[in-house]
Amino acid sequence: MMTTYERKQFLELVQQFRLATEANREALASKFASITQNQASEGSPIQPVLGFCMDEAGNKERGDAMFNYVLSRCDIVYWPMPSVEPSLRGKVEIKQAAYKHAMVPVKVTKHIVMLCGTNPHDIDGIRNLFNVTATGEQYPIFVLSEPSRIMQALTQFA
Amino acid sequence: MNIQDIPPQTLNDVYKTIAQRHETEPAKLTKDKIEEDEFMAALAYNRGSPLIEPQDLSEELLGLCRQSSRELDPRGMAEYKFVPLTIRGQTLLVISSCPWDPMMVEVISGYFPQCSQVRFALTSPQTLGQLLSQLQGEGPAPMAGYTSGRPGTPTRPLSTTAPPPKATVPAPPPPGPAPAGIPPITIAGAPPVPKYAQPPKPAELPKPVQGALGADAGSLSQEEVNCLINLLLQEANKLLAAKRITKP
Repeated sequence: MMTTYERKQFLELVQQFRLATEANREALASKFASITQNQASEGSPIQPVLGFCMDEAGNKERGDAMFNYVLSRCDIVYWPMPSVEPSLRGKVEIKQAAYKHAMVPVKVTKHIVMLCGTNPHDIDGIRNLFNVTATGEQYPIFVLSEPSRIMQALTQFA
Repeated sequence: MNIQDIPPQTLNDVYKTIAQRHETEPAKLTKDKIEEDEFMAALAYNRGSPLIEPQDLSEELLGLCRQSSRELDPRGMAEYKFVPLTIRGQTLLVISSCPWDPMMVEVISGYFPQCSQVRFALTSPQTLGQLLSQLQGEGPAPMAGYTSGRPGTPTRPLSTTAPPPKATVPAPPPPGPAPAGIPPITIAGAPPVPKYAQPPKPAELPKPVQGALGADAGSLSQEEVNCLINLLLQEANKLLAAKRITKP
């Protein structure tokens, strides 16, 4: 099952890029659910819905256009080099939250926690990852990056 | 960070944010005692911008900046306090210590007319100076209000012109919820007409047409010819922009 936030982005992209017709939209959603269920059972990072839609786009240009569309539709800043904050790479709880939401903590200081994800709607993801990452009263900052970069960054967890 | 450069509303919001964190009233904050790190963090949070601090100046970041700024005049970047980081689609990501400066936004838009959106990563003037120095691979960059101690190189004269035709402030965010705790980035109001606009680099210009400047062209230096062509291009851009505006 998709979360509300995943579904929101899914429907937005399916409609904008005509990834599926009204008739087979649910089949596409089921395909995503099936993929992510397998990933969850294997303990792998969960593919973000944007990455799934980009894969379904058919070619790289359309996939890129999809990401650029997401970027242009929100006021969240693009981050070109997501990488897990080195001091957090061994923390299981953070890893689990990061895998679940396809989101990484890229910077943690005394004053800020900077998280990088792919879905601007995923408020729960931001909240959950922030809660396990923050060590005090830091300010949360959320930035966006490509699903492929996020998935790559997720492999940095021990 | 020189807080006098920050728009009053932004500054008030930053103090409110800091006061909330300290569970107090903004009026009760001892502003002189706020650490610069905390102030910058609150400012970044209020803008929803990533914060670039000295420890973030990695080789990867420098590489991206180098790639994006290779055709730009370092003195122009220092003067307007920005370094482009990367372009994604039509969105340009810029590191700046004064992202609220509409003139800087205009200048950037002139440099990158293909980018319809400009987003900012915030940094302090000191870190920006450090970044510029590292990009140049030499001593401190000639930041405005910042003296390097080395003999100053004359900044290229910037012509007083109208803004480039495609210059725009970042598009306003579409309606719709932003993630909780992440304030939207907005640059309110239309930008004023900048006093300066950086002329395009000579390398990007078409070659001068032989004879187009008459017999005296031979007595002009290449720089002067480039300058004249810049002026012509800017006038042409203005005419095109006017035509676009008046087009039904």
